[in-house]
Amino acid sequence: MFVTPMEIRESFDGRQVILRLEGEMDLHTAPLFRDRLEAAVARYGVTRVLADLSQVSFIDSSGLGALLGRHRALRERGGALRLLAPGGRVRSILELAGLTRALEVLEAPPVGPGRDGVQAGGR
Amino acid sequence: MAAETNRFILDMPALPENVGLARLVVAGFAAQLPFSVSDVEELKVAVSEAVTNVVLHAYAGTEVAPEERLLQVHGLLYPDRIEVEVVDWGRGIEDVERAREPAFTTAPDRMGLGFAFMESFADGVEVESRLGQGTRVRLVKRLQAQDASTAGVAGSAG
Repeated sequence: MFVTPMEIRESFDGRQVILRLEGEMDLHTAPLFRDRLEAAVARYGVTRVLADLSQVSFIDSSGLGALLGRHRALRERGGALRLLAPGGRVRSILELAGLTRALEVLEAPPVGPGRDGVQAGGR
Repeated sequence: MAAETNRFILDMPALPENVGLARLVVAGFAAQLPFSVSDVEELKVAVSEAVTNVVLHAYAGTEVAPEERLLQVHGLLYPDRIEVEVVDWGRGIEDVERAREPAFTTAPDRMGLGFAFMESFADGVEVESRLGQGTRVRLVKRLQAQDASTAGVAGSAG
């Protein structure tokens, strides 16, 4: 048994930054998400971000706070943070805290012209 | 009341990287009882919130030296439940009832849901706090009836 930090893969589909999170989102790892998100939106010059939560195995109020906090920060700049495919336990905590009402939750990656332009992530 | 069948004490600095360690140890310890996966996940959230509160708040604004900013996690296993105590020697909570109210925070990127999550995901939450001396949060998670009936062996192994 060991504690794994959260890994974040980043890509850009021409319209939005996509952050694929893997691991546990808590007090220790939430700042990594915030910093990567801010660096990415600055780099690509956009304010729309999709956070893929399908590989997030744990989230607590620190993780929820980071999601809501970044959503609010992006919204002030005319954008939004959307969530993609949270797993069962993560989803139930999002629902308990009301985040599924505050943030748009997608069940599958968006399709369309922008999807074709997804660059390989992993940075 | 029956004596505990097993126990542990985890003693560590109050650092963000230890939040995950605390819940991992508690989850491993809880596996000695036939808790459902869902119950263990709920316990992990409750423990995460209690330890996070210590890291964020217990020593903020105090003169306690960084190397003395400690927390302990105590695990107590009983045949029908697990109790987890999260203990610090920090500033204490001035108004425990107010601190337990949802959304009691003004910090950006925080939701103030720590105690609300503890109360949602544990079967019992007790808070003892003394100003200038520290705080002890006790979380209780009980075996559900169906858990105990399907596998009573682990609970009587002590």
